[in-house]
Formats: sequence, C-alpha cells, structure tokens
Amino acid sequence: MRRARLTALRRDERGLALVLSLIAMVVIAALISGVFVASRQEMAGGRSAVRATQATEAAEAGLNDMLANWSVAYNTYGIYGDSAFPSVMVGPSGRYSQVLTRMRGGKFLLRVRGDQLGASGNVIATRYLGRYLRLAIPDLDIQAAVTAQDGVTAGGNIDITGFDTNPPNWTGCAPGINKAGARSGQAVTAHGASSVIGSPAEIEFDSTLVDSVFTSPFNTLKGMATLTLPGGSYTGMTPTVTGSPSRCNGANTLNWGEPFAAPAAGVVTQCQGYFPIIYSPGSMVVNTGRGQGILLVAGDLNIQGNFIFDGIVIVLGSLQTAGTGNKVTGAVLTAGQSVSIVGNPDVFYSSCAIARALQYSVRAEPLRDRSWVQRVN
Amino acid sequence: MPLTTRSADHPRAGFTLVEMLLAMIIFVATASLIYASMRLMEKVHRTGGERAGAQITLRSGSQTVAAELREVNNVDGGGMSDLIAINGNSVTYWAMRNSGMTCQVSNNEVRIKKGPTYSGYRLPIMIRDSLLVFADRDSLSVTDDQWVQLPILGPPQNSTCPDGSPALAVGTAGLVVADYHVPGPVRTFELMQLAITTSGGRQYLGAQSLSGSGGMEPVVGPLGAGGLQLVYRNQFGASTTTPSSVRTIDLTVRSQGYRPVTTLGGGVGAMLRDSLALRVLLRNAR
Repeated sequence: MRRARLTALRRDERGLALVLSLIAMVVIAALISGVFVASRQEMAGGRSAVRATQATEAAEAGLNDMLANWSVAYNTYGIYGDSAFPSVMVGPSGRYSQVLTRMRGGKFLLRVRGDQLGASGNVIATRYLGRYLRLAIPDLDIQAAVTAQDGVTAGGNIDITGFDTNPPNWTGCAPGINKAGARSGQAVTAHGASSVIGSPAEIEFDSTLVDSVFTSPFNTLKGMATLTLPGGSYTGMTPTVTGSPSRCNGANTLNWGEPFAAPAAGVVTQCQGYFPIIYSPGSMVVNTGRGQGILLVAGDLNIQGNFIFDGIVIVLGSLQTAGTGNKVTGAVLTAGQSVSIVGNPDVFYSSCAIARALQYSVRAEPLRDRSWVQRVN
Repeated sequence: MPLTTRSADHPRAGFTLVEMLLAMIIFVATASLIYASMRLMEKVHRTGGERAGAQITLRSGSQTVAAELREVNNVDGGGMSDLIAINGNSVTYWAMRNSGMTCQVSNNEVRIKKGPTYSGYRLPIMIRDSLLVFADRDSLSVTDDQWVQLPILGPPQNSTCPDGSPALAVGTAGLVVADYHVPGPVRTFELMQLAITTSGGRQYLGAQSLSGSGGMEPVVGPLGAGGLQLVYRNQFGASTTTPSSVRTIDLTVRSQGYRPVTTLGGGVGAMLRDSLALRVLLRNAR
C-alpha cells in the first residue's frame, strides 16, 4: 500500500526539465550542425580552389616539360596526327598528359591535361592548357649560295650557283626562289675557269652584312647542337646504323647523316631523316665523306676534298676549299677574314636542303604571340 | 473522523508555494539559457554564412578576372597588344574565346577543325567575335609571323574539312590565302570590359562585351567600397599606365556582405567586409 503511494507521488513530481533539456539540445545541435555545414562549405570551396590551382600547375609542368625535352623526331610527325604521350606524375599527387598535333609550316599544337589526385588516386581536379609551338628556326639572312662578310675569291674550276637546286634524287621539295651566287661585304673575285652565277650572280659591298647576320643564327643553333666536336681533322664521314632492327647511329661522331637518295648506290635509308647540328668550337679540317644538316664552325673551316654536304654551313672564321669533289648544296655563310674557294668544288644554293636541315634538326619554341591557351578540353 | 484532520499516511497532493517558486525559477533560468544559446548560435550561424559568402565572392571574383586577363597578349612597344584601355577600376581587353587549327582557308571563309583540337566555352558569334588567324608566309623566318585579325561576317556553320572530318565554317573577308599554312593556328576573341557596376543600390563586378550588344552585367558581388582595384606593372615591377608595357596586374577585390550582421558583442549593423589580393602574370606578354 505504502509502496504504491510512493510510486504515484514520483509520477506526480515529473517536471519539464528533461523535455526542455532535450529540446534545447536538439536546437543547439541543429545550430551547431548549421555552422559546421557552413564552415565545411567554406573549407570545401577553399580546397577546391587550391586543387584547381594544383591541377593548373601540373598542366603547366606538362607544357614546360615538352619544350625542355623536345625531340627532333617530333618535327616529322604526320600532319593532324595526334601524338599522345604517357602520363607523368608531378610530385605525389599531380599528373599531366600531353597530346602533340603537328600543323604545317613547322607549327604544333600542344594540349596538356593536368590532374590533381586524391589519396586513393582518384581525380579531384582537372585543368586543360595548350600552347602553340613553332620550330625554333633562327632568322637566317640567306640571299646567296655563298654569303661572306669579307671578300670572296673563287679560283680553279669552281661552280657557285644561286639558282635553286634540289639535292640529287630528293623528292617532295617545294619550288624555291633563285638567289645570288655570291653575296659579300667586299668584292667577289673570280679567277680562271671559275663560275659564279645566280639571280643576280653577285652582290658586292653589301653593308647590311654585319656580324649579327652570322653570329645570331650561329649562337641560336649552337644551343641545339646534336654533335659537339673539338677542333681538328675529320675524315671519312659516313652514315652508319646500329641495333636490331637497325636504326641510324647517332652516337657515331663521324655519322653526319645520309644526303644520298635512291637510286644512288649505297644509300643508308635509316639516316636519311638524320640532320645533325654539328658544332665545333675550334677549327676543323674535313676530308672525304658525306653528311647533311647544319655545320657550325667557330674557327676556320678547311674542306680538303671529296666531301659532300647538304644543308647549311656557318663559319665564324675563314673558309678555304681545296682539291676536287667537294660539294655543298644549301648555303654557306662565312664571317671570317677570307673566303677562298679554289680547286674543283661546287656550291649550289638549295632552298629544299636549307628547309630540311632546319626543320629536321631544330627544337620547338612557343609562338612569339598568343601561344598560351586556356582550354576547356 | 474530522475532515480537516490528515492522517500521517494520507497522500500529499499538489505543491507547496516554495516548490512552485523554485520550479518557476529553474524554468525561467533554463529558458533564458536556452534562448541566449539560441541567439548566440544564430549569430554565429549568420556571421559564418555571411563570411563564407563574402569569401566565395572574393574567390570567384578574383578567379574570374584573373582567368580573363591571364591569357592577354602584350608586346612592349606596341604591336600585338590585347590590352586596349587600362584604369584603376576597369580594364578593356581582347578576351580569347576559342582556339584550334584551320583545315581550310579561302578568301572569304575559314574552316576550323572540330574535335579534340578545338576548344571553346561557346561557338563563335558573328560581329561580336573576331578571328585571329596565324599568318606565316615564310616558315623559315619569324619576321613575318603574325596573328591577322579578321571579322566574322556570318553565323558559323557546321561543315567539313577536305578530309571529310567535321569543321566549323566561319565567314570572313580579306583573307590572303598565300599567307597561311593549313592546318595552322586559329583563335577567336571579343572586346570585353571589366568594371564596377551598380545594381539594386549595390556595387558589383560587371562584364560587358563591347563588340557585342547589351550593357554591363553584374557577375560578382556585392562588392564594398573600392571593390575592384587594378594596378598595372611593367617588366621591372613599376606601375605603368601604358597598356603595351604591362606584364603583371595586381588585382584587389573587396567584398561586402548582403546585410548587416549583429556582432557577437552585441553591436548592430556591421557589414562584413573582406578582401583578396593577387598578382596576375600575363602569360602571353613579351
């Protein structure tokens, strides 16, 4: 009886405190969660901005990496042919993927996707950038087969022609414009049975032939040298192959490419697309053999006989030739004190040889204007 | 048994006055605490929301302006400068809109190859947008390299490239075919202005296409006093007023909340303000 009364008394004494406390806790929890959600949103927005920036930086790395590690093999990619490169990680959580598309006239479109990855490797932010590139062909002031800052002396039985001539058996050459035979800051003197022809045959006392005409392209091309050879004598340059399947052996310093084309005998086809930039900081003596590309000699160049070269020769010292069988198809530029071309050599101006030597050997650089692109894909 | 007599084991019904007073005091105290907590949390909530909104405004505003200006081309000494007019709180510029490569050019039409090489948030619009086609007659020389500006004279049409792939045909005029290699680089742009504009009594960052129709549209805001501040710097970091000399742009965006927020200390009417400053490097400046 007494126990029943006490129970009834307790029931009667129930208050509102518990209910009020519960309501208050619910309201406070709701408000706290609201603040928490707002803070989360703010933090997520900030994180998103950071991740987007990181993805952009990854894409930037892809742009820069392509320029820094340019391969001359890209120069001959097919027009419109998209060349996708393997993805590269940038740090622990960045990644870029590059696609290079070649256009005409030595132009390229590089597209890069930059990703920022989450802890599980999932993509949490992506940005796309692009860049228009061009082959870094230096400004070459070539208006003649032979360009010399000093006087040009032609003797013996030489033939210098500015009429545009393709190297023997080369195909796919676009028609070019005829140039002068010889262009000089001083006089052009021909002796004996020598012949200097072109349109015009000679340009003499050309005051525009200042040092930079020679040194500017020399210095630009020097930075892209494929072969750097010390001064000295080099004999018997011949294209060679290596490996299986065989490929052109670029490690051989006497392999200066293959200028010959079928139906000529003994053509090393693997080296027909190899146009090295050969740079020597000293003086060179070359004797017999063949090659193609760009020959840069900081000292004097002495061609002694039976040496065939297609492309561009730039000599900061003097140029001398002697003997028979020498032939340069392309252009010769000489800044030194004397140019003496004697013996029985031929120097033919060739827009095709010049263009190929440049387009097959140089690296890429961004277009001067509006090269950088923000893309959406 | 008299009615007024209560036995010792009679149940006690009701509360005493003291109990009632005590209960009411506890109730009032608890209710006050709850109300104060709710007020506090509500203020915190609103302040947090306003602050988050202001910061989102800052971020989106600065990102919008930076993204627009980053791609601007500039050449010291004139030439291909995309900055047309610069002021402390407005800038007029060529805004790049599309990019890709040509697949065919004629005297009055440029066909842009569609597909992965084409990029743009929207299709080119006649009159409003212009073409920039890269001309390079002699690919062995950089001296003749230039982006040639051409008008877009008709609505772009779906078409095909010579190889049958999809293209966008854009009508134009005055194009000298021999100056272009195909495929070659192509872009479109429109003349834009970013400036402060007022709407509903508030200041916003506004954008206007000067080459198209329509007025200044608010895009980010509301902004506070001096909401958009632009300082233009040359290659040496000195401020400049010559558009072609600009290499970097110091951008400051000042945001303001939508309504006054009561401070936690009890103050009323304070508008939340925040600011963000960043330096935009013009990626195509030289």
